[in-house]
Amino acid sequence: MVDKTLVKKIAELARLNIKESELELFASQLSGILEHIKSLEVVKVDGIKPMFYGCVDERPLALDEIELFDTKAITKTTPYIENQLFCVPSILEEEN
Amino acid sequence: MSNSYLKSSIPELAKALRDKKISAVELCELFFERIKKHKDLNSYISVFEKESLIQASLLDEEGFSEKDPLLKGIPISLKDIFMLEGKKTTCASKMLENYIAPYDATVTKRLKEQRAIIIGKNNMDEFAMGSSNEHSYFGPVKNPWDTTRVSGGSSGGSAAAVSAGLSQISFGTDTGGSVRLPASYTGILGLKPTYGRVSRYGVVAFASSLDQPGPMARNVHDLAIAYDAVAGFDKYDSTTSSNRAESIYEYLLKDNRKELTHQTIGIPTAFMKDGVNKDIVKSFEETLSLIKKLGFKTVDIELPHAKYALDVYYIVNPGEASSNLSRFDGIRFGYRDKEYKDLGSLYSGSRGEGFGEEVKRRIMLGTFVLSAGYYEAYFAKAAKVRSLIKQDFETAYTKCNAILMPVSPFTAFKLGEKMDDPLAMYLSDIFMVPVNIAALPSLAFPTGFDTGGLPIGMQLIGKPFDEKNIFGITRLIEMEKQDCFNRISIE
Repeated sequence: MVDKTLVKKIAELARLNIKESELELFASQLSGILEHIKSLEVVKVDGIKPMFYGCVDERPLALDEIELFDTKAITKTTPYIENQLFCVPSILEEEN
Repeated sequence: MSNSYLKSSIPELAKALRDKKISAVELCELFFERIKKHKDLNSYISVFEKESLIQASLLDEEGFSEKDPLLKGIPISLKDIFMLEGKKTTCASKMLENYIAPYDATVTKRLKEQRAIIIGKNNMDEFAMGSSNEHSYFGPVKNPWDTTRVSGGSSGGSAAAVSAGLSQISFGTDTGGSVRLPASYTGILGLKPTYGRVSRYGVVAFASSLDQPGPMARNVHDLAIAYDAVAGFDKYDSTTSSNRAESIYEYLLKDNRKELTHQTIGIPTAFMKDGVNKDIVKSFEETLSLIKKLGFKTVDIELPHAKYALDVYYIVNPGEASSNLSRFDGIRFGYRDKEYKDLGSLYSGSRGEGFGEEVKRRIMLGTFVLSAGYYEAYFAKAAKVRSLIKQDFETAYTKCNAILMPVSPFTAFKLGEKMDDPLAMYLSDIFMVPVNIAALPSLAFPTGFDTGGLPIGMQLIGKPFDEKNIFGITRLIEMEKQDCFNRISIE
């Protein structure tokens, strides 16, 4: 059901580098899991509302207040920081 | 300092501290000695010995009184998924190997307010994904009852630590049984609270509609004290309930036998008829007999859609996980791959290198079930079947007050036994995931041992926000079967 090409495609969508040697194993494991999940096909769900959330009672709205987080604390979580900014590779080419 | 305090409950330890029979420093030393002695169990990722002893000596100087919280000066541990300010929160992943938490989780903050001493952070399955605690970047946790076997996952480090007397209590998280399964495999108690009862703020997110933090302990009173300390509304988690969380420990101190034993316990006979180990069936029947002897009525209940819960779970869980884990991009926190040539390869390289196999498998499964062509057939369908499972429980609760079921169809398996077959591993969760799917509370407790000497556990599943009831019933069982509770698994 899931072949190596599909695993490659899914990994690309998920932004995951997968080694060529892992493709076969993931293909067979994902196929096995999806085959098991197929049992849901027989369940009749016409007119049933989906349950996307776990809450089982009403939740009040939060107060409309702003609480600022300490920026310095957040930017200590990675070494790739300069002047309180996260460093990323350049996206636009420099014009000469 | 004698090991005689090892089997003491929190109220007994609190009294000993007040009466100056022991000091908080001595108590901490006892646990650190044992942590060193049983290092090979691999139940801790971080240990904070120096700081804990300083904290304990300050508490000793201050003294202990009746007015103090029971947890004051008690050595406890946390699964390494809870933020603890200034300390590593690794989630047992290479991705977060060097991540230092910039703030406290609400659970952590409330435990600090109780002045418990957080002595370390426990090993776990990477990002809480697993049923055996073998999916940890820091190596597997061994079961203290038999070190060739798994501790159960994903809160396996917490379970092994509490079971072996390396921590008085611990906190885990339960997304599909991750508190209850390791509790059962190591012979202790574990609570999965109702969804929304305990704040998820500062707990690294896995599957947000299923995740609930929960306490683990060796006896019912300790479990209740741990739960009381953290339960209740939190303005930082909009999914927490504003219903007041009443003190379970105070409730348990009263004589509730009469009001409890006129209740009816539901037995889902059809759901658990296949594939359950015969020793577990025997232990279940013994527990049932005990419940009847105590005066409870029992009734057979139907949960016709529960057999689909595992399939629903393995769609909803990876779907939500793939979305939650998209934040690990190698930029703001976590592992960054050195060999990138552009932004895209920075993302894929960091994630490919930083995540372990099980995490990658679930991210891919989640990406697949949420993708445009398959969303309706998988995720949307699963969400509807989830409603049917919840309705099954609502119907069952018109006939009974709580439901009794085994935690797992088998006891702790051998290390490595199921590592090559993820589907076989997932089947460990079959009796636990319906609880998370339906957002219910469930308390796992020990009921005996199999013929190989491995612990067996049952669970009592309650109505939403009815933790008090399942605690009360478990306490009655504990009083009758004291030999199964409060066991230390290893010398």
